[in-house]
Amino acid sequence: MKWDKFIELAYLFLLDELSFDERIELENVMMQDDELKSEFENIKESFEILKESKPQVASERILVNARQTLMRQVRAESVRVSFFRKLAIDVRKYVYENYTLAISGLVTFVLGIIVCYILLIPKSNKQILQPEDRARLEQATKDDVKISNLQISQPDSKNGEVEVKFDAVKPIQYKAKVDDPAIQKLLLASLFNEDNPGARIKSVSTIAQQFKGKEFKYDLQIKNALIKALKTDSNPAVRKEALVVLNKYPYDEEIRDVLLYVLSNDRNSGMRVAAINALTDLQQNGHTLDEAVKNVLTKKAEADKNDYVKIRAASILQEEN
Amino acid sequence: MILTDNQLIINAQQGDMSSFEELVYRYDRHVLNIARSFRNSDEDAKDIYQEVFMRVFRGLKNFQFKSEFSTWLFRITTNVCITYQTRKKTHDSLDREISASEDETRTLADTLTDNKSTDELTLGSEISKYINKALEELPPQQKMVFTLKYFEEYKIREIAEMMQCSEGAVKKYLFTATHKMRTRLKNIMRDAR
Repeated sequence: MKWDKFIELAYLFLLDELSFDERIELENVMMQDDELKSEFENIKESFEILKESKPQVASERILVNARQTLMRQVRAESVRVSFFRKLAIDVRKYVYENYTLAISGLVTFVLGIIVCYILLIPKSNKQILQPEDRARLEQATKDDVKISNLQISQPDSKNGEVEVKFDAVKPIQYKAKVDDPAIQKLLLASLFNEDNPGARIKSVSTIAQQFKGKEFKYDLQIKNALIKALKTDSNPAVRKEALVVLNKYPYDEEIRDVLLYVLSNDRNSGMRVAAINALTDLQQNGHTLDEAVKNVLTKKAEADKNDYVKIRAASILQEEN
Repeated sequence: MILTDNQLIINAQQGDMSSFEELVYRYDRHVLNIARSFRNSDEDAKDIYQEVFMRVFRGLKNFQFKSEFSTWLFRITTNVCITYQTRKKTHDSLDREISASEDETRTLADTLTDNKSTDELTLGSEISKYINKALEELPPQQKMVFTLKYFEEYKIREIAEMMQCSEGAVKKYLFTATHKMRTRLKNIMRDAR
């Protein structure tokens, strides 16, 4: 038997972990080898000393003391837990009984605000730059960039820093035909966003330029934009220009409706004159005016504040009959 | 009528403190003895006892009866003991660095070669003292296995269950620890002679 194996078996023998057969085997081995037997005795002696060194068992007093301390701690903790649990139950009960509707309404409202904010609020393109970003700042403001909306905060009394907010706008030049999609998009943007009426008129008249082209395709988006401008633009000159351009589109129900809208609702008599002239032109070009047009013309012939409109309306109706 | 552990646990889970108390009293002597043997100190044993049963109290509501309560309890006990030993060792080593006392550096040989006779020195208690000191130097797992086997006389199979490891691993810890302790003991006995 190998020495290490013998030592392990001897340990297990003395620790009462060997089976009956293993014990017999070990005893037989020792009987045949005095050296192993002597080593076994050494181990046995060591084990006895080690076992004798067993620390004292905890006294009854220590046990009682430990129990008392434990139960105090456990009770303190269970009281603490039950207090919070009771509080949570009470709050839940109170809320459920009295404010269910209000809370669900409030939750829906808050959720609605959050959803709207996420969906509708455009993401800011604002860049916040630090002194170490100076290169980026210089890049963003170099050449012909236009600086506007400059706001300067009060200097910080501690470190003397100031915060400057501004818009840096870089002009872009783009050259293309009038019917180029990008040009049309820019013209429409100008028509609806420019504060200056002159710029809006310029946009509409530029749109009209495309009618000079031989291969002009009627654009539905432009048409709708012109109708919208004709109905809503605050400046009569812009509306007039939109009406002139719309007259170049093929006559249809949408054109008819917007002409009747102008005739009925536009407070500017010049616009009403322009609208009734457009209807006159249509009649002279062979278009039959339907009942809706005739009804409006009847009203205008009887009651429009502008005599020209009255006379023209009556005249068209007479010719139509 | 004597309730089973599981019945006591169910009652305790429903907030019955007396059931929890009874459950504690069934096993706490074993827990305290293991802790006392492992640390050889009443104060440390009490600390371990508190920590073990507070863990039991907090974990009892999630106890799912997948093992015996005693197995779970002794598993917590061995874990707490090992953690406690590691924590304490770090703390003690810091203390030792701050103030090293002369007594601690004295060897058994120094004690034995004093002017007093061997009989007067009560050799048995001195040896026990040095064995306990040697035990302190064992890694926590080895010390735990050694304590449970030699002092508390648990079977290797039971120790493996408590420590959540294989019987082979327990034997390895046990043999290594025994070998170290025997080597230390030989030195002590040689010095004593």
